[in-house]
Amino acid sequence: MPVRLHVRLSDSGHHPGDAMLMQSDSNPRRRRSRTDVEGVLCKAIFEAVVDAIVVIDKAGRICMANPATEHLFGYRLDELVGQNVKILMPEPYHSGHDGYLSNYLQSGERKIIGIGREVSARRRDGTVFPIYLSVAEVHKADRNYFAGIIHDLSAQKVAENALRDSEAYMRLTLENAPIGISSTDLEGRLLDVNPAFATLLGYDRNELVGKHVTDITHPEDRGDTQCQLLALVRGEVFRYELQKRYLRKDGDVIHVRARAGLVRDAAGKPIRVVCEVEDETERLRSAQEIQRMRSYLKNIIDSMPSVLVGVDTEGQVTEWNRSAERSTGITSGDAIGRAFGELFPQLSAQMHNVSEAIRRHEPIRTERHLMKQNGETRYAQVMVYPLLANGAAGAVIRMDDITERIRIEQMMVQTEKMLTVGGLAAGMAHEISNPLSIILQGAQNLQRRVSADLPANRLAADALGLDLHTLGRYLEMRGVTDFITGIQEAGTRASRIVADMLAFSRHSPARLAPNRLDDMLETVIRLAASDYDLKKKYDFRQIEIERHYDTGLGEVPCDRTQIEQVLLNLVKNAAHAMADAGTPPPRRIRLSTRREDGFACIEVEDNGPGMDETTRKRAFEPFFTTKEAGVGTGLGLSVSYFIVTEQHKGTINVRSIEDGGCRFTIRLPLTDSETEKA
Amino acid sequence: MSLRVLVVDDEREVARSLQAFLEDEGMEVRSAGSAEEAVGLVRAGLAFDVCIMDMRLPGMHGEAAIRCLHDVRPHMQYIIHTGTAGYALPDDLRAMGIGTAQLFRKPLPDMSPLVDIIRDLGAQR
Repeated sequence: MPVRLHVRLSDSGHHPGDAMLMQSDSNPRRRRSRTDVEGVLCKAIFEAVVDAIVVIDKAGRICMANPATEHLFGYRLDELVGQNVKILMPEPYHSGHDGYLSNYLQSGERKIIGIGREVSARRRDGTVFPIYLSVAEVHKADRNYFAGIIHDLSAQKVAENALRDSEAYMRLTLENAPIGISSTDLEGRLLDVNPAFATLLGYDRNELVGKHVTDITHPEDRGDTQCQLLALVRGEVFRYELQKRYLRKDGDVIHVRARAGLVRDAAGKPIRVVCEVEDETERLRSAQEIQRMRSYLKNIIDSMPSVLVGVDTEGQVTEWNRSAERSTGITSGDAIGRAFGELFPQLSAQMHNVSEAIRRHEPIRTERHLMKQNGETRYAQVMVYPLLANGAAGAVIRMDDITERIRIEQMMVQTEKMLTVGGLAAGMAHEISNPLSIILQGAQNLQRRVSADLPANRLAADALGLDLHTLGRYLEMRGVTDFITGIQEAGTRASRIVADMLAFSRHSPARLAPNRLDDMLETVIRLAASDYDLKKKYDFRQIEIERHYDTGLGEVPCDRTQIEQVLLNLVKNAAHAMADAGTPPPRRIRLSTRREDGFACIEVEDNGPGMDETTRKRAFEPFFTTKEAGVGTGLGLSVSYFIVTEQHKGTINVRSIEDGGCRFTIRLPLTDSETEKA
Repeated sequence: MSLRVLVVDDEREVARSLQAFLEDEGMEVRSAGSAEEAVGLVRAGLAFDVCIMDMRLPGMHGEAAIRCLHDVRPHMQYIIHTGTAGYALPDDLRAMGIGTAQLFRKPLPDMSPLVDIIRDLGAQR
């Protein structure tokens, strides 16, 4: 009964509160009434406190409880009074309580009395909840009571659990984080690391604790690390990020990106440095791989002898390889982004093919794209490939200058023609030589047998009474002598044609012997000066001969007679051309020799009328001549061509010079030993 | 005593004009239209100082004819007169002493060099 109990307790006077009141008011007269006041106050407190207060006797029966008890445990007070207190306890306290109590009463051994501890309590509905229980022993009227003050810890426990959960969560996060996390003291000594960090560095976690960060940092990155750490600790930076290298336990170097920040205590004082570390080794490796691949591809594209240009659908250049740079003199940096047609005007017609190739999704080839370059006709083979992959719209234009190839093809055609002529000539030579013999020998006999000088003629004439001198005059008068001379000249020319044609046949390989080209040129000049055909027209000595001999050239393997024939032919042609065109003085022939990449090079250049494109193209063709009919055989240059290319494996070509005149260039291969002498 | 020359050529007119020219030079000339005819003349006992031999002949070839004649008359000298392009002397004919100076390519616009050589050869004999 609460009221009863209240009365009993209020009689105690031993309550600390009582003592306090007694000390503060020592007037005995007012004591009674003060005690009454105290009793009322105690009761009020008892009823008002939030914590439950349950008083039991030494048998464990509940003598009284305050209203908070009802609220806390869900029992009505009248249900509780008289019950054993253990109904408020879950197991194991429920069963053990009687034991504790009797044990205390017998031995005085305290488990809880006067101490207080966290235990569990049970509500009427059976739910268990955490409490803080403190028990006071109360002696009153020779009887022992125990007052239990029960503070509900449920809310606190929830909060504590929440805290514990979040700590566990954090811990779990750290343990399982894929990136390495370390914490160091302000000097940089490792306090803790997570498993990812330890794995990254190949250490056991506890091997790392206590090490300094510089111990695991690549020597070249230690300075940076120290500087950044110092700046962080000094508060100069809020955080830092550093790309650095760590040294693994096994000595391998790994690349990481480290981000560090300060941890401060409640007062804002820095206490630790936390650092997260991301392994960049793979990323860097793949970046390097990509870079390597890119430069490898670039290298391939640049090493191509073809001009390769990438364009987008608008014809803007997106790629420009080294051959394109060489061909145009425009650097890749300058070309990219500009219009293709503007950079390659001679290929601007190809822009139509670019859009066509993109539209049709197939490459378009132009076998021979004719273009003018520095006034010279050149041929290009152009391929336009549409770019199909990855939806990239555009095309690649590949251009190869095939001028040389076409020239070689033309030369081969030329050579074939000459060999055909040569083969024909060889077969014909025997058949034609006999009739020519008859004509020429007959003409010579004819000439001799009308002459008065030959004794046999005189004998025969005398026998017939014929005056040979009169006959001579008659033949002269009637032009017979000229006819004979005409037969002789025509026969001679015909036999020269046969001989020239025979030069094309492969019957005799050239006998190459070392010769000085300058000596040969001098011989040729002498021969030309005394040439009968030339003398007939004009004096060769009126032509200025310019000599540019490379005296260091040494001896060149060649068939002297053949090459002299070639050179004489060139010199005579030059003189003829200048005479025919009426080139005003000074007429000039420039002769030069030099070494050029394993070849000895001879040039014969004049300041005559030059050659037009058609003539230049056909110059080496057999039977092609610009001279009037009957003057040349039309074989001179083709024989020269044959001698140089076929017999000497060299080259001969002709170019027109801008201010008139033309230049023949002969290249004769040097043997290895001659090349070495260079 | 004048030089005795044998001209072998299947082309009668070639042989005839050669003969005419050499006779005008005071030489004693005989013509044969084939190698066989030439060999027959020599075997029959005719003697010549110099023989002008065509190469491509019907029947026996000029080279074979020279070998044949050389067996009969080792001291006879030869001039080769051929229309064959790029004719090269075989080694055994060179060994007989026939040099490139004795090689003439048809046609000859001037036969005087032939006369000079025949005189040289006749003098060597």
